[in-house]
Amino acid sequence: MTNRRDFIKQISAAGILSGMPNMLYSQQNGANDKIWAVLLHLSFNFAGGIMKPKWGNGPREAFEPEESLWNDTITRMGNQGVNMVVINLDDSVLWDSHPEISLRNSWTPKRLHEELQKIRALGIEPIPMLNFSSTHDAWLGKYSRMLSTQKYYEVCKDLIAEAIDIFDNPRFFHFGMDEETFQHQRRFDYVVIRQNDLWWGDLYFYIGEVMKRGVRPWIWADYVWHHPEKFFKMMPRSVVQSNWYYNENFNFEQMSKNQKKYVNAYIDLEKEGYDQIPTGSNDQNNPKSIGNTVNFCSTHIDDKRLLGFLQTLWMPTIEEFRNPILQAVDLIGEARKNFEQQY
Amino acid sequence: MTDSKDFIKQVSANDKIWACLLHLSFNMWEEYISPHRPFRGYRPDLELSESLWNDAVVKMADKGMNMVVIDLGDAVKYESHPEIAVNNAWTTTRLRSELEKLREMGLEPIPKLNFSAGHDTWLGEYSRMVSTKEYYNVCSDLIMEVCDLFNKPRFFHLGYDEETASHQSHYNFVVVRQNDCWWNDFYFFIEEVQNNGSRPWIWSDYIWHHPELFFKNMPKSVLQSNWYYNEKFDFKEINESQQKYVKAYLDLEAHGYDQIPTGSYHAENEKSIGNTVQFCEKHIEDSRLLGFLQSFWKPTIEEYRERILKGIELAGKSKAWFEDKPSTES
Repeated sequence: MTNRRDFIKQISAAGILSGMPNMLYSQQNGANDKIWAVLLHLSFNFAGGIMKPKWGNGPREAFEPEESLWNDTITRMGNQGVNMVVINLDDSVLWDSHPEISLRNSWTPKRLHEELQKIRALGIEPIPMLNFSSTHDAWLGKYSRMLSTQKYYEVCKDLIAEAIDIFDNPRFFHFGMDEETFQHQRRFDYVVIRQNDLWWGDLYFYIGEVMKRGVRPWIWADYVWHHPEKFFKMMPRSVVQSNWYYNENFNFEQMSKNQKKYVNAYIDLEKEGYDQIPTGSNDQNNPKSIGNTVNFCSTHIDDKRLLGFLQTLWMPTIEEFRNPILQAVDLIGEARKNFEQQY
Repeated sequence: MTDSKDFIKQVSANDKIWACLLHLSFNMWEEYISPHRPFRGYRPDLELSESLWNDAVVKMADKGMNMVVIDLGDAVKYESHPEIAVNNAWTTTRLRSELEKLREMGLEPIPKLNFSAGHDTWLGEYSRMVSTKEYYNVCSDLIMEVCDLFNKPRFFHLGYDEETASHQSHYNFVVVRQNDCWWNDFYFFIEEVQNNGSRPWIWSDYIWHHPELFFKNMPKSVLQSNWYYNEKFDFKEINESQQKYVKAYLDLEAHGYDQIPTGSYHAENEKSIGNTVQFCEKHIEDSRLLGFLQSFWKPTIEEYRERILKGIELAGKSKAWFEDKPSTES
């Protein structure tokens, strides 16, 4: 079994990998190396409550990814210098602790563990993601209607612990926590939103569960858009921030008020000293999103707080979306090359 | 012991209901004391002035009221779920003896548990488990126990109002059932009440926002309390929203629902109940106009003594007007 520490040791022995140039990117793990990550969906039920034709209508009941595309995507990541894959796990693992939430034909923990080994062997660091935002937790099944109860905390605690164990103590744990607003749930049959201190209390709970196992919490940063004062008062700097802005245009003179707010969040997070992994996407005919995100953030975020970049796809890992998914991987690969030529 | 059936016999068939809503529990809003409406934030202890309670029910009887709707919430130490009770909640024995006292005064006691997700703070941890197996079990237990405590009351008020995000904008925990989820749970409550021999009674405001769905799905077995707390009923003098609220009385009548129109004295609206009585008497057919309900929307504590007692008096005056009005029959 290769755990994360072993993996890093292997990386430092980069010399032995001279015959594998693509892997060298991720294995030159010096202090200045950036994270070049892609978010890949093993589960897509973060969108289970959202009726959006391209996302399917309603929650999936069976494991969905097509392995041919999954494998090709991972291979492409390795070839493109992607050195981290954030895996949205949710209900696509037959959790030992809570098999009742798992989809039909979910991967067993053993199957997932083997996959992680394979991924690491390609020079890619796997990171678990469970999205605990109430807008994106349809995957929690009946527990998504028990938020902030004793039972809920027990289940979340168990799942976090099990995921950390399967991932052999990963460096980060992404727990989403984005878009928890009525606006995002306005078409749901069952709306639930935590606000004020309750949102923060639950966030601290997840943070605690992750940190006590030596793992660094990572979240989407969009709470800062709507509650900047509260955010900067309450958000620990130990939490890695992924602000996201998927438009291609970073010219403030050409942006809407909202777009300015989203982009300004990168600058505000930097001013307040948060570590960031800015995020682009390739989900809406926006191929320049990740490249322009890299350009903008490289000039506005201090190198030591800019841990790297994350590319998102927002599509289930099925053949129907082969082209945009592989293109998304190519685009972050290209962004990395451009970055390294410039810096 | 006087059970509800005996009590009903004492009331002649044509008598209207003249009811007041009295709060044993007031834990139906924010889970904390919010500066924007501090009087309604969650209190962990029973906040009840028994002297005011006693004076209020005496005044109800004096003013000819014949029904008191008691908002029970978490103010009773239920045998089935004592875990939701506030500190110093009434025991079931205490409640039973109070109900006897009320009946002896000529007041028919009716239970109210508000199961709107916007008003179920009193359910404690279960308010965070809405529409789960645990939730249904607890609600079923509570309805059964309350029906037993009230000796199969004629009605059971389920609340079920204002379940929207905007009504919960200051809450820490917001829950809204929408579409089929709202209706499925509603049918569950109706069934639970009917299985225990009572008639379900609700606030009607869902109709304001979803009239088509309301008339398609709402059984006529459910007693409707539309509410409008303004004093003006002249359509020329009220805004669009107010027109919608008042029009609901007419629409409910047009569709043949039994109604208990509701006024209030929670603000500077002394004429609310009187004008409600006058408007509804004119527009709702006598056989479907079961009576009227006065509300105060304040906890039963000394701070609100004057308001609550005056609210009862206003309901009494409305009853007197109703009974003295010239008969419309030839």
